[in-house]
Amino acid sequence: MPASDEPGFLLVRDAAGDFRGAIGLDRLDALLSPEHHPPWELDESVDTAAIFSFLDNTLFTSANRGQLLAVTREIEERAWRTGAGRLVVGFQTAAAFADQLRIYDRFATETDLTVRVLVADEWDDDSPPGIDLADEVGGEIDAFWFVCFDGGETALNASAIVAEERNPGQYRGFWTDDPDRVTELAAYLEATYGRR
Amino acid sequence: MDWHRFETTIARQQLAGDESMPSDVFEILSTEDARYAVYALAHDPNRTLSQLADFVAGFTAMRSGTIATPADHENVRIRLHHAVLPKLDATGYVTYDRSNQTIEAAPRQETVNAALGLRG
Repeated sequence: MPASDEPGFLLVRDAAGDFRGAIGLDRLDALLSPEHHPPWELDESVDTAAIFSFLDNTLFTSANRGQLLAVTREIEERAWRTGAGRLVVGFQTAAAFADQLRIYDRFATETDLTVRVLVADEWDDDSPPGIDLADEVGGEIDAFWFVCFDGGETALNASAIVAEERNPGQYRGFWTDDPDRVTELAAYLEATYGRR
Repeated sequence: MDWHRFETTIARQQLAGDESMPSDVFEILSTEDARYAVYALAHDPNRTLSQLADFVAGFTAMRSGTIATPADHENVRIRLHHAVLPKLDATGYVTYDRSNQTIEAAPRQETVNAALGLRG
């Protein structure tokens, strides 16, 4: 029952019908449509971690690029803050990776992160220093948006998102910071796309 | 129904000590929980405790720009059950069945809603 002069709120329940959380729709909008800033320029007033834990392990059936970017940015920010561990990221196109190169270049050169990038189509340039890049991977890398950070030794900041593009610009999938789930995904990525 | 008008009415009566407002009701409305609860109950008094707590926790989160957790929700539920609803029951605004945790309209509701700018 939103008041006619108030934005209303979103209420989340679990499968048993128990209250999981609630947030004002205006606040939710702000959290889900961020400007895409690199992690070291994050606006501290936007608490992406809050929304992350609020909707953690939530399956989403319809998310747009802006929403996935918000979650992706949170994962990148955790990786940057942790400064160590393994970050595996898939890009559907070389152009998409080129847009993010500045960020991943800093991950590779200014932190102890191991960065593995999978690009679905062809990457014409040289492999950027410090980044373990595989291109023309195609297949599921072309169909999925994913970022997987193992959290380093403590796995405290482990987090991942996997989303499938169902229709142009519309995704379904899940995000999580459950270390077991992240480990599972990381192991799969290593087994399937690890350096041979 | 208009939250802003409700809030303005309360504020005005706080300043002017408006006689039209029954003082027992006015005292209950000194807490945020109670204001949000009355706002919801004026809309639809026939609710369960848990449904009312959903609204109050959600509305609080919305107004403060925060995220309500299950712990927040539980605290709201406890305050409604032990403090707010028994008082509203005592003033005749609603009938609160403590064992079934259900709420129903009581005879004074119409009058109080009108005084609070909460009609229609």
